[in-house]
Amino acid sequence: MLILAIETTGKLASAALLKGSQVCEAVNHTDYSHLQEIVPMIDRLLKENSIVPAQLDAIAVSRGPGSFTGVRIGMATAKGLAQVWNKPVIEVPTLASFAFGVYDWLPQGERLLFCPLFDARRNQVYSGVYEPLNGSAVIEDRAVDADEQMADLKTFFTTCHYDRVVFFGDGIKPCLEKLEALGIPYLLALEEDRYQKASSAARLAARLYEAGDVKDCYTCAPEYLRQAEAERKLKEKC
Amino acid sequence: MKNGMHLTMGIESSCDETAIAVLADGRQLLSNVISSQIEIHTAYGGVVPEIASRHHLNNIPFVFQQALDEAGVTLEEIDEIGVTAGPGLAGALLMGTAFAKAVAMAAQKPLIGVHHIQGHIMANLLEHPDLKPPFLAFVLSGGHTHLVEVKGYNEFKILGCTRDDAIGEAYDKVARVIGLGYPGGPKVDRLAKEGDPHAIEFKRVYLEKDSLDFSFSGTKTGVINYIHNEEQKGHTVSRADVAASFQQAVVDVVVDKAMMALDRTGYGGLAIAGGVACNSSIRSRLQQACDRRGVTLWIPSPIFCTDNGAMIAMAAYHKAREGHFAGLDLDVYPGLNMETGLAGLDRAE
Ligand SMILES: [Zn+2]
Repeated sequence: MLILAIETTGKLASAALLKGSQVCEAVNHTDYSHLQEIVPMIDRLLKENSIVPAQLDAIAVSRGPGSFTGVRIGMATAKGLAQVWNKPVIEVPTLASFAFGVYDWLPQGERLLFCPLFDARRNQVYSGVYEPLNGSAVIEDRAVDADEQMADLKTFFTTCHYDRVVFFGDGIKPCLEKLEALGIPYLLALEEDRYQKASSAARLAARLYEAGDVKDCYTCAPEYLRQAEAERKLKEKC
Repeated sequence: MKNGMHLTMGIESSCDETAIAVLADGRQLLSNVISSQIEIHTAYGGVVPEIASRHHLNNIPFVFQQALDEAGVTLEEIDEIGVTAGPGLAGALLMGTAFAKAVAMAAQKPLIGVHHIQGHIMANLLEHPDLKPPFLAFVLSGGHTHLVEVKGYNEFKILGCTRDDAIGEAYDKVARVIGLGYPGGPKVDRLAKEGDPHAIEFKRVYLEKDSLDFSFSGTKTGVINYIHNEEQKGHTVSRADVAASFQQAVVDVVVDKAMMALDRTGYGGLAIAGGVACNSSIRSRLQQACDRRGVTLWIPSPIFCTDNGAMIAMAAYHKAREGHFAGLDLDVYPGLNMETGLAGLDRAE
């Protein structure tokens, strides 16, 4: 299996190639220059690995939530590549992809929960809660008040007897006081593993691909988890 | 290449139209697909950037395939891909550009970053292959009011532009105050036909003597004040008279400044462009003024005045001929300047 994965939903863009169980990744180190960098990065990644497009099984793209603009740059890029190369598109749920990262700092032998928190402003987060071993969601992805997410996380955590929660994402910083006030043991992901990565998206994409969960360039779509502001206001008026 | 024809694709997404066209040899249009979002944005009273971006993303693969199918060509046969990189709404520009870059890389085609206004001007060449620089161009749209000296296919000098509202913006605002809604330009134009253009004397703003710049906000404010005053006096306002008189005031200035620019440059013709170039009064009055002086007026068909991919393809064709290609690191420039910004679209050597 050979999958190209694109991740542009956070502050750093990345691209990854998954070959069987191997993943190699290219990450840009300039914040928010996704448009400029993602296509050259993919081009280099393929050439450096001597991959020709015909060998690819699918294009995977982190579908959001995240920065609206970032989500769209990745999706537009994936659509273009998939259309020209005639490949299926795998929509990777961004929050779930954290459960598929490789983290050498994780404590061993503990029952962990993963909770990615993306800053959604207006005191909200985009967040889901995941079991790291199988990647299944115990609290589904949503745009939610940070306090509400914390309360629901705590309830689940205590009733189901976990040892620790691991937090990811750019929502950690604005929520830090809330995390401290939670009263449950937690760990913050190390800075280098804290944000979205194409390598994690690629690993989840491989599972989705095997499960036949694929779209094409016409049907793949972002997951914003939130309406456009103007759309919300218009509906309120009606 | 197909049958010896050089094929250029043009991609446009700077506002609320997702549009892609295929042009052969810089003269024969093979397809020109336009997916308009106008109905979607009408509910909001104007273009909402976030919503426009979302729709561009959904639309673009369909528009792309349709443009190839209608042209009867394959992507392999396309020689180069041009895309609007600015000016325009950032999020909207991003969609066309991100998609174009992916396609250019995937198909290994040269990429060209196009200035949207250069595209509007080049739209004149679609139906008038005899038109060659140098000439005078007048861009009238929702975002732009520019008198431009077209010195070469890729060399422009701005002689004058608006200092406040673009002409289309002024139309939209007046349409709103007289209750016509969005899009304002065509609605004001239609209603003006039923009114008396001399009923109300609105201010004509010429700025300094000899200036080729424009200011429409004073005229627009005049309309707003007039309506308030009349309503306060308990008078009923004739919306048709307001529309006709506003249009008369604006077009007087437009025509006078265009003639001044012709005087100054000495060119034998004027090419108009942009969505507001569809306005019937602007078309007919500029035509009369040009006829009187014995100079040619070039006006694109309405379909080439509003945003479209054909104009971007035409601009890209001429950029390619003169070696102006972009790198795969092409960015978008929402406030791109036409004189100084063009070089930034080209690949650094
Ligand atoms: Zn335009």
